[in-house]
Amino acid sequence: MTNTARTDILNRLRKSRPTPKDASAETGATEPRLVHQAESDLHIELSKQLSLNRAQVVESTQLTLSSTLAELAREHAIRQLLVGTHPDFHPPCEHAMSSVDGTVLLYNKDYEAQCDNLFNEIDAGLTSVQAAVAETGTLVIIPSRDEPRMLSLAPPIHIAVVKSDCPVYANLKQLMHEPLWQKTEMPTNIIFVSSPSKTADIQQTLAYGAHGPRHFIVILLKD
Amino acid sequence: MKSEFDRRIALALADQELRKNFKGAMHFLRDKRLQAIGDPQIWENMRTEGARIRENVLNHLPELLEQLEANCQKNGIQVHWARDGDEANHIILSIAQKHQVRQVVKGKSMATEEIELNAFLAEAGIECLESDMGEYIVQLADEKPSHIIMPAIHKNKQQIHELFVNKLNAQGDPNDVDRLIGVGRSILRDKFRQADMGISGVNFAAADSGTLCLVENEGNGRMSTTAPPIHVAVMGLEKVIPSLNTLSTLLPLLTRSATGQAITTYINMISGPRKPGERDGPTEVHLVLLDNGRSAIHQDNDMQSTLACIRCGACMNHCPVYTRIGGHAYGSTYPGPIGQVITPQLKGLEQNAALVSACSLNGACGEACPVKIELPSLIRRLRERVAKTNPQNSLSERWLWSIWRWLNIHPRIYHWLTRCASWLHWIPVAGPKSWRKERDFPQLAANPLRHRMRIRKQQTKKAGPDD
Repeated sequence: MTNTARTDILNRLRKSRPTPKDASAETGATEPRLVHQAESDLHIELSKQLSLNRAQVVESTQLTLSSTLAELAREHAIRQLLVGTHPDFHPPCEHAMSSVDGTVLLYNKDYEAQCDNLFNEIDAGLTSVQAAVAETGTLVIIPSRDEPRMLSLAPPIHIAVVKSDCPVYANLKQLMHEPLWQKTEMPTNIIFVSSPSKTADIQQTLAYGAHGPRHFIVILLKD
Repeated sequence: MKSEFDRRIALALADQELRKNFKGAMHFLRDKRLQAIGDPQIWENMRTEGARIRENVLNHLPELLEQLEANCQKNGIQVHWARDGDEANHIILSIAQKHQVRQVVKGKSMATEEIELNAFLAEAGIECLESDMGEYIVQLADEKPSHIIMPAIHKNKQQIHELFVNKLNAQGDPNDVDRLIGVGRSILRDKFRQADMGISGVNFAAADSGTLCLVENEGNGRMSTTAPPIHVAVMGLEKVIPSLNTLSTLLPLLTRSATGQAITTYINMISGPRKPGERDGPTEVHLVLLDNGRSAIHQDNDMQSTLACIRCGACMNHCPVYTRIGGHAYGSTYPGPIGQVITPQLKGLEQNAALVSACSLNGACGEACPVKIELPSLIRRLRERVAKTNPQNSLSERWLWSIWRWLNIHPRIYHWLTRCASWLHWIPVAGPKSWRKERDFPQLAANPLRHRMRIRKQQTKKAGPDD
């Protein structure tokens, strides 16, 4: 059934040939608006836009990360913090959580084996950030084996750590000019996150924490 | 004779609460969009670029779809083609039955509204729960969406509170929107975990990488495409784009036009099912490419640009008719100007002839469209077709139009007559009864506009070119 449907549909579409246009315009990619901004300016803009979108932006360093995390854990009553299997952030997380009598859990099992825990027990999930866009205050998160998709979605708090070497682009055009977006082989999932989960579906009244995280905390590492 | 459409319009106009809800919502959305678009010149350039991208997609539609299919398959996404809604529904049902699916969660998708998937699956004993807050409210009330972006826009918070009390026994402060959202959240979070299958729409599908892109604020789209073991995406075949980098133009156009946001909370790009070693995500991803009348629109040179639409809803937000009668009055899946253009083409012009009449040709929709679809022209073309194939207007109306036409091709007589009419403050024929019944005849100006313009021109000349 599907095969004949495919042939039928494609044949019909091929019949209509209105005005063949310039093929060079096919990708629609024009010259990107290359704005040369100082890196520090981009970081300021990123931080400003994220805050405007109701993200909690906190500056820290590699050295002070554990105390920053401990403060956040106290502020938001985080007792169970879920992290990926990449060991990068394990020591500061362990240190921070032990100071508030909390625990660090690893996302090292399949989703099906820990789904109840993910939705009901975990207070916060912590992820790394692969890139950022200053103009819109957007973090690009690429889930992986180490940092699965649910880590930034199921827990009520999402903590995203932006390392100092994380590339920050001025706008979407510049981000998408990068090699990843020209590649034909993409990761299973890429997420742009710009605020806590929200909705205005009831009488245009903005409410946070629709289905995903209620709080979106962004830690900008300065070294 | 009154059509069904006329009856629904009369009902909507008499419902003061409904009119208030729509008026408030449309003002809100128009203001937000205006604030978000910023510099009008940059916005105009973006619209031009967006229009060009979409036009190119339509010019290469079959090739792009084949490329999308090949790359999706390479990524492990199973691709299905459906000529119509019935075929699409059966494809989805067979996937569900193969996996003994009982419970489905669905992200917001107008394509699945169009094919009435929920009702079809319900008949087969499969519950399909809407997970977008607005869609959830509408489903709970046993209604249909009244707006393509904000489905429950016709209801105010008190009405939603009453609905939640009646259907969910959720008591509390009717003005506390956070509480109402919290009720939906806690119910739906359980459903995401329990569902055997997630269904979603697609905002854009990139042909060169085989990537499905979903745009949302709530996170229900991510939930529906991540938690259940099977994900089925349903997409109108015009939603294909050549590559992801066109998103840098199309995304800002979409989100600014739809909700006045520079970007939405989540942009979710899916390029395949869970890979070996990955901890979550569906183990199967299916893509259903839906024709359902689109290839016929594609063949119609005069109407092809209908398919350039990126479903932002700006045309309805700016339509004075939609603002007054709301989405349900149209009686079609897609309301407002784009609905008036799509519905007659998908479901037959003859049966939907009345739809194209609900337009004052003010042009606001065309000006708001982020990809420059000339909606007023498309509506006019459909009107022409209706008038040619199925003239419904009365004898006196047709007679009047022929006089009007004759006068307009005889300018001297026309000008002489308008002059007389303004001197006498009287016009011999004020149109057929149906025109006058609910409208006041406008006062004629003492001086015709043409005359005033001539005087103005003379004055400007006298004042010199620098003034």
